[in-house]
Amino acid sequence: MNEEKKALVELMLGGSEAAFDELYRSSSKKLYRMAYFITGNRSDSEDILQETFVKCFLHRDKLREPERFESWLYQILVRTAWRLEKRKKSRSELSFEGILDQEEDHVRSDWIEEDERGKGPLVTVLEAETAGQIREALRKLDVKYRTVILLYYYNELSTKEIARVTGTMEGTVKSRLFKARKLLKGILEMEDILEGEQERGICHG
Amino acid sequence: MARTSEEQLKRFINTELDSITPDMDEERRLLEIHKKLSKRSNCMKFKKNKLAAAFTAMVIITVLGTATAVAAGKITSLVSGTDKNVNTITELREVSKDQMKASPKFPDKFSNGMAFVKGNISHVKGMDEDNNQVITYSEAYADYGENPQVVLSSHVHQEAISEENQAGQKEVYQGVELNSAEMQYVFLPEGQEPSEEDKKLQEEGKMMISYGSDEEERKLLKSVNWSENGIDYLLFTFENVELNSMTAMAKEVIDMK
Repeated sequence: MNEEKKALVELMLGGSEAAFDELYRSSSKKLYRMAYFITGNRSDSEDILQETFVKCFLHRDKLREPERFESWLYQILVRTAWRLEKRKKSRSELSFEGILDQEEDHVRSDWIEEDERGKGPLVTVLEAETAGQIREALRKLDVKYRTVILLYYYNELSTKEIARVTGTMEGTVKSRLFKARKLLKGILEMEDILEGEQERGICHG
Repeated sequence: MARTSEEQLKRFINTELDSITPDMDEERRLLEIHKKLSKRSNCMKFKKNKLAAAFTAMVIITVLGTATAVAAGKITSLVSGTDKNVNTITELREVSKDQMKASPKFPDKFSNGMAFVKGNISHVKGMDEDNNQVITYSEAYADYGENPQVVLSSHVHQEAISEENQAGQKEVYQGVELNSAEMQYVFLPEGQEPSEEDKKLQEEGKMMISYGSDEEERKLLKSVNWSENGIDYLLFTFENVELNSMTAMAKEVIDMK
């Protein structure tokens, strides 16, 4: 955390609404995306995001070290999202409205853009297919596994930090990460094989 | 997992998430957040400082329960936030003088042994039913004894939230009218529906229901309030301190020069 942000956090902890607003503006997009990854639902993500910031300000006295602001915010978001998921699960509501599905065309075009940076057309198609498979695999993962994947790959937290954010034992985090990766490994390794074959001219179309 | 797979997965997740844009405008959402904060700040105060929360909540009862006062300022709720925490009585007096533009009396120690522990200055906003700010003022808090046992708060008299017919026992001391009262408080987790009995007590003005606690809690608030030299004082506790002792403490404050 840079000094400027730390100063803002300290001001917010002292009750400054202006500092709170600035902190919100600098992190709301990222937190919305995190909520969306966990819930797969835009409306829920909006509720979770607002609730996260409301709780952040209301319970600011609980944050003892300003340096830990970001992971503390992640902690609020994750627990708020989990609580909502639990509630929906008990009512047998489906959460995923097609997380990532409605973004699919956009994402696909991103992959194609990358194609222009030196990949062959077959690799692009294969990657797009792989993306679909990963998306499907992530969708099927339990919310707690998906959260670990999110915090590890998107937020780049260590397993120890993830344990703190999710309120679970580090061993549980490692186990969830291991299982989730194992599931995704097959998909990605299959792509590696195909990619390797293409490089060797086996699959060149 | 192979390093390439790790990188691919990371790239995939980042690409997926970076493409997601919220439907709601960022600034409009911020307004929504502030509205929710205003509504729930009383719950916040409970979590943060139960005694301070009690004070805020009690003033809200005063405002809502007194038609004459409401008509004057149209204030339906009070929202407060801490501006500065202090650890010495000297600092509290200085900050009060600076922010309240007045010098409320805060003893170092009461004769029953309760000594000053810490204090703070809060800014309070009086809001109307449409959540518009009607008044704003500063308020000083001083905690005495362990836990703390008793809190003494003060602010410059605000006509818009003054109460003409307060419930409780009245006593005049040195020309100052003291008003002592007890009020039942129940704190419920958010979303928990109060019992019919509690709702009835609240309607009768005998109970205050607040939300935001982790579990249901019942407390008895004991308070003494008075007004002296244009400053309103409130001494209150949720602990096992007799109302008579509270009144004696209030008299000690009045006796201070």
